[in-house]
Amino acid sequence: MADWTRQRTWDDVNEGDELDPVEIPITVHRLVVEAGANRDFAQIHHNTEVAQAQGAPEMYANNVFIQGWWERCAREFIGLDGRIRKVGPFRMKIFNVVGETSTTKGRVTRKWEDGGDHLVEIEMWTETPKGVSVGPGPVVVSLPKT
Amino acid sequence: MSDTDWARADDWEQAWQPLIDSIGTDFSPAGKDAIDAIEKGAIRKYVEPLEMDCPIFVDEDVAKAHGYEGIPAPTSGISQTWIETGIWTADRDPAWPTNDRDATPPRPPAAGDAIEPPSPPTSAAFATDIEIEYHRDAYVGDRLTSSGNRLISCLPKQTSVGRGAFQIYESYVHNQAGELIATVRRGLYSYVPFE
Repeated sequence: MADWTRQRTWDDVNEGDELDPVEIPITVHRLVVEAGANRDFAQIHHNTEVAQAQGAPEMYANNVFIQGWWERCAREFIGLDGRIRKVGPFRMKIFNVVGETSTTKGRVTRKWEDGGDHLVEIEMWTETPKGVSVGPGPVVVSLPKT
Repeated sequence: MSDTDWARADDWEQAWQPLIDSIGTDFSPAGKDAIDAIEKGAIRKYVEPLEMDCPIFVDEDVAKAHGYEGIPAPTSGISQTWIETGIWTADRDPAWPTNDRDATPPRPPAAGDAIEPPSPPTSAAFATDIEIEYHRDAYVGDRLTSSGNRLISCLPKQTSVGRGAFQIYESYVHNQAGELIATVRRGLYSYVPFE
């Protein structure tokens, strides 16, 4: 579990800082729960036969689920006072399939001020046992100054 | 002759030229309202498979103490979950009229002014790219509207799964006060799978 009592500030952050990875073991049950929660009922995400008929090796995580992995990873870094300003562009390159674990990682690449905002850019990506499946792509967040 | 025979032609990329010629067109400028206002229980269910334990999504007091107006909706759901228009309502045709194992309900009605992009028939598609700029938070109680379906790019390409094209469309999400919540650029690859 993340420590939500800790608030990272913009001054605390340095280029090269790494985010705590988020591991998502993907099971059929989890994909079904996810479909009900995020309302993406495309069968490629919960029906092996349909996914394979469309060229995928197995049923696979939908894009909102993947966005959620990135949001969780970012929020655990920026804490309760941070805000997510922009995600992407990022590309989903290979399928995040059932029976594998997908791990989302991130690294701070830039920090700057814009008006009164204290912004940080994080390069984020997701890995499967077959390699990088999503990204890398930028996530821009804001943090309290001190 | 099948309507997807274009994918077997030597010059199959030409089938996408009408869509390429439409780059810049907004195929659905009017808005479509989400079927539901954002509900606290829907957010709890949303964070469940993510195991995202950030307390702002379940505790209004914590959220307000950290600058939010109420319980915010997770930003990652803005391109689909919080603008979803439902599978069936009483004024629609049955969503599951047969017991065909893999039957899929018809797509929900499009916005009144929506027109179909002039792309060749395909039988499969998946999301490829996401870019979302968040302008303000959406909260429990907000009922969002999604508008726009502007074609930004179209690139025919043969991939490992079939022949089709990568496309990017831009849309906008507003709340009930007309405030812009997010600008969404969503890429998809629609294609005819290899046999």
